[in-house]
Amino acid sequence: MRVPLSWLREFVDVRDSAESISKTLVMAGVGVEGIEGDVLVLEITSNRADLLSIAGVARELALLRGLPFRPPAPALQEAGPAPDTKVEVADFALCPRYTARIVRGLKVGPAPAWVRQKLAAALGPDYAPINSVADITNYVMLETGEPLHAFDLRFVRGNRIVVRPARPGERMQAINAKEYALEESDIVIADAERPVAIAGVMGGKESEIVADTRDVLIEAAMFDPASIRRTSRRLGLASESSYRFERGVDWDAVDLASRRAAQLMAELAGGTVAPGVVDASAPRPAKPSVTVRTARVHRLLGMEVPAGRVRAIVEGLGAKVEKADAKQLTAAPPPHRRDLNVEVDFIEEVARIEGYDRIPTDVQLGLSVAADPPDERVREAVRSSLVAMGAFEVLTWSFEAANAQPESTAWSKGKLLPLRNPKGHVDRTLRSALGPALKRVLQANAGCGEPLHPVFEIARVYFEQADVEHPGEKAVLGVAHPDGPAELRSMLRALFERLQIPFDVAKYGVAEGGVAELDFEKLAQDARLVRKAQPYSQHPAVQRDLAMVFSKDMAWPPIEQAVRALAIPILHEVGYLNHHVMGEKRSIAVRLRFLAPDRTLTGAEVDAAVERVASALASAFSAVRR
Amino acid sequence: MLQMLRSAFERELRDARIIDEVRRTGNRYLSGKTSHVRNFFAYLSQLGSIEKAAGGMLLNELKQSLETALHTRLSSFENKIIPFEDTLPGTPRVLGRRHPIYQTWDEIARIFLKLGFEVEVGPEIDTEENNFTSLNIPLDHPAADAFDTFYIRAPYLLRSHTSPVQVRAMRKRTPPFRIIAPGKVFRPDDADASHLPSFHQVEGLMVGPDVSFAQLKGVLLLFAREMFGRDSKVRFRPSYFPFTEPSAEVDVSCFLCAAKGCPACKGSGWMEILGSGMVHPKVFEAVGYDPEATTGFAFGMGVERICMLRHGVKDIRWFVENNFRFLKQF
Repeated sequence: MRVPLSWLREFVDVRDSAESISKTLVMAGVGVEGIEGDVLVLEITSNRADLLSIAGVARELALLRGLPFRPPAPALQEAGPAPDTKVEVADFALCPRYTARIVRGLKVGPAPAWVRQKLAAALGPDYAPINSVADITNYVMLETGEPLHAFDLRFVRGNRIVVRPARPGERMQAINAKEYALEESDIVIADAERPVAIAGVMGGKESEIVADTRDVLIEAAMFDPASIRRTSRRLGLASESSYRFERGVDWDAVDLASRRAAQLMAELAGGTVAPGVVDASAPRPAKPSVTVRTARVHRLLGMEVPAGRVRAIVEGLGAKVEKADAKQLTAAPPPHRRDLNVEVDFIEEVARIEGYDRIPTDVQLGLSVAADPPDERVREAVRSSLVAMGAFEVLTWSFEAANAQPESTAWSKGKLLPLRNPKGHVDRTLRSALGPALKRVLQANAGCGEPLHPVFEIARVYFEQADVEHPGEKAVLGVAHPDGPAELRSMLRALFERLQIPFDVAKYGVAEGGVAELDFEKLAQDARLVRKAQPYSQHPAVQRDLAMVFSKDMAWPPIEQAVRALAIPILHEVGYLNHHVMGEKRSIAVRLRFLAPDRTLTGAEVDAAVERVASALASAFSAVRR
Repeated sequence: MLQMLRSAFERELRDARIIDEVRRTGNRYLSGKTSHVRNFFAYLSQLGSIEKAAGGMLLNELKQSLETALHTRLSSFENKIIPFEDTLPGTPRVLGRRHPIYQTWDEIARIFLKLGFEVEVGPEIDTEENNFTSLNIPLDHPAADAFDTFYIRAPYLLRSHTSPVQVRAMRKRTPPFRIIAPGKVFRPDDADASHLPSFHQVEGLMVGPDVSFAQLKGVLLLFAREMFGRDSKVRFRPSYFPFTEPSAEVDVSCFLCAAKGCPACKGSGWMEILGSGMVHPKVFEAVGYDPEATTGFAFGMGVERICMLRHGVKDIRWFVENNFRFLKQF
């Protein structure tokens, strides 16, 4: 919201610079995005609809600085017959207030330079002058916060205004020349025959002000904020008007704005204001009074504020204090502040008017012992182990493409969960596996010629659940090794050892082609991080290598399994050493380490054990010793 | 003259940097065909017998001491010869790395753990009730815009902040307690240099019978000092969130320019890091706490933002590109 200081000064007498005013506003919670010469560009939070006008900002500044506020006070000269336009509101819930004022006999031309200059300063580079009447409605909206619309009375057929939901099939061409198909959820301003405006959003082209317009109907109204927002979103159509209606406008500003616009139209376009106004409004809603307790202010803020000071602040806001004593006061919230409804709203006002910096800083929190989250230590052990082995932790998207068709994964057999953006389109899906994202990281790095490292991530995958409405998700540990399945397996084996879990990838997930995905929650459950020390042998170990010739399609795991199955007590470790292809056969060397807990092994014992291993392999696989 | 010879020889031996220089010196003085000692002997042979005898004795003495010195110097070199293999750089080692976002997350969590805040986690797919309505954010109100998100199918959506985790925690815990809720959150923004459709937040909550705004200020000051340096200051500015009242945006004094003003803090000396406030009574009602008996404060921060400010990361997309050239800098 752009506030030219010269315009602001019509309502409050602030003499200092834009920077200085900006500081006051920022420290009171009115955000300043920037300063452009003599214009403050404000960022107004959605609860402060009262600040969406120059007068509103002036009132706030007057409060903060203790200065008098001079609200706009239009003076009308009325003449001629009273307006005879009929106004009917179908549902006060959609439109609690509707007023129509008539100005007759005006001559439409360009707005005077001072109006156009002020609009240019307040609307910025997007502003393009329209005509005197339309520009006046924008001017008054910016000044008072109440959006107005002007109809050429000629085109309000039947001289009737009906505020109602659109009927199925109704269409309207708006002043932006686009045609919109309307639905029953849209509020329209209609005449006797058809919609002439999408209420609160945009007027219709047919009834807009043109060069030969003579009589004007000024609409000043209030609409249901939720309905305006829904319509605006559905049509993809937003305006300065809809922005303000979504946040809520001020009951009192409605007639003020209507009279101000009529006054300007009479002065600047030579029209005559018809006496009175057609007013179709619900009874003015009464806002309940609010009680503010002194003790509660103290408790919530951690700072004592004397009852007298609380009262002064509440009255300064424009609230009418109904009763007050040292313990509490009761006040009617000021009508222009839609955000002041309950006690804490007033406590916030006390805090911000006093200044947040006056509230003390209390570092006495009392003792509280925080327990480690259950799987935190396992998470730490997993990450530090993988990092120690040279793996890089990565952070990948949870998304897949909108039309991605996954093969069924370890975690889900079904389709991917679709994600709908606020416009209603499905533009992406949620992944049901982690592996593909890790593979893509390696591919991208390979693509820019970077030496590769293993990568890992503990992250969620998502899927439909069979028996539960709420879609499911699971924490998965993904690991990908650029050097292939063997290197991945050795990394996982070391990890499982660290967690003291027997090495069994299939129990926790899948590993294929250098990429593994494991159920992290299950790993966390089975992990044992506390170690029990075992006595270790004080005697020397003996290492022997045994090379045997197998058939060419022999795999390693059965060899290791066969050797372990022998359960030779002094066999401490068995591992792969090397291999070479020999014609139609493959020679594989096994490294054996022997160790006894209680004695130094003799050569004969070791030889005998090696013999047992060799015969076992010979008989199981028809292998021949070299 | 023999003394001068000896001094010169010893000096040259001392100055020799490599073994070849020592050998050359030995050659020049002792063993070479035209070495100094040989020349002296040759000269000596032309002298009379008495001078020959005396001179010969002195010269022999000299020759022996020079040889001893030479031998000693040579062996000091031989002991220092280093085999080529030992001069090699060795197998290249690369330390694995944790991702900078998780490093920052860990550090934030560690600071709050010190203050007694337990970690709560929750699902990334949650409901409208937990993401909006329990937090006093009506669905059809502009206040909901700031928390816009992706829907799977109503009422299931991707959480747009980690406040839903706080709602869940409140439903299962009894005050007093203090927690932080870190996690991945989602917003329907296109990825650009400063926005991503999925990023990380750490939010915190402390509730009890007498929790106050003054304590909120205290906790965040302690956090800022731990995270950004002992001299850090914090500044609270009034703001608006539907689930807190009073609400505040919290700035930390710029740790890059010691609050003097620089491009990172846009010359103001302050960086906006956190949102916070006193939990709104409507939220307590929604989770089943008596708003008269309970007060509390909540706060939240963006992990990517803090990481970018701290480490000077210029483009938020680098975090999800996972290029090793970036990751290995951390």
